[in-house]
Amino acid sequence: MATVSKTRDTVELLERWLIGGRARWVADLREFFRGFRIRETTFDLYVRGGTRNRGFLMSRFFAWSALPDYHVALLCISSESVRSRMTSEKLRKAIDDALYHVGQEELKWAWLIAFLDSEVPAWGVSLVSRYDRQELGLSLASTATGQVVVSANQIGRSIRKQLGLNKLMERIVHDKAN
Amino acid sequence: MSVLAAYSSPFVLLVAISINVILASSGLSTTPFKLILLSASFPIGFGIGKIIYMKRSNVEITFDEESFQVFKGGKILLHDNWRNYRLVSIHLDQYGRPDLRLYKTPNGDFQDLPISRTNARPQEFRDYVQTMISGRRTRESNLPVVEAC
Repeated sequence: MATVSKTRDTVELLERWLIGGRARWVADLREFFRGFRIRETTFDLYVRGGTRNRGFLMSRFFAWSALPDYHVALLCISSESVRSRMTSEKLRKAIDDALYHVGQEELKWAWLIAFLDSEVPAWGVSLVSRYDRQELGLSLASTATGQVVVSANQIGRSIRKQLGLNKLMERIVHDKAN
Repeated sequence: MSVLAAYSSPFVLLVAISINVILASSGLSTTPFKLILLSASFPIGFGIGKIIYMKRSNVEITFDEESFQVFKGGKILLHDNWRNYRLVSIHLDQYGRPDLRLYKTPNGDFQDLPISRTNARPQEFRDYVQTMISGRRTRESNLPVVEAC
């Protein structure tokens, strides 16, 4: 029987939550890719969508008349998809590639979530919590401890609130314990 | 199932009305068996609805490691090879139903596979298609079928 790694499980679970409409209050995420390569980084999950949800009749009219039509994306990388383990350099590279993609695709903003299979290291807490570029919300999450660190900008804070990453990590840690 | 119910419910109603008219014209409208006779409208109505659904809307996708075929109502809608595509994604339609989108070129021509109308699990099926496109899957001789539930 094939074994599936914990971080891959987490990415799959996050994807399932998003397909179910988890992020609908902040973005209408429509398309989900796995193993998506941007320059030198292969992201485990790449999701793209917009801030204007589609809906039917009334909700569509409301979205058309009241909501801005921005293109947005979510990128997700796990420590297992980078060789050996996640380092500060690899995370910075992923951030650079994500920002490159934001520019290329003319996205208003993007989320970048990195799943680690160990505790969030001190360099990670420092790097992420001090990150303040407005077009990229950043998060580091540990599948071992459930710890979630997000960037201080508004997009980063929405990873906790709108995406419910804390709840996802609680569930992962709970499942792991049982 | 909900699609089948949508197809069937008008026929259930029509058959029930017909039975009622027949019973009334035969002078049997007060018979204690009236409810039992009227209940026959459900199997008859669902049967008619299912026949029409299978002929018009039933989606079936057959595939192997080389190619895939999409049938709708028994007619072939699409037949293509996996190798003609380079990228696959799960795409949500306007009602939030997950279908597969196959790209011939990134951000270019694409083809949608309506897997939300079958019993296929979107993530598993997407992963399978991804291995087909990248050509890493070992050959299998069987021809699996996913069919509307």
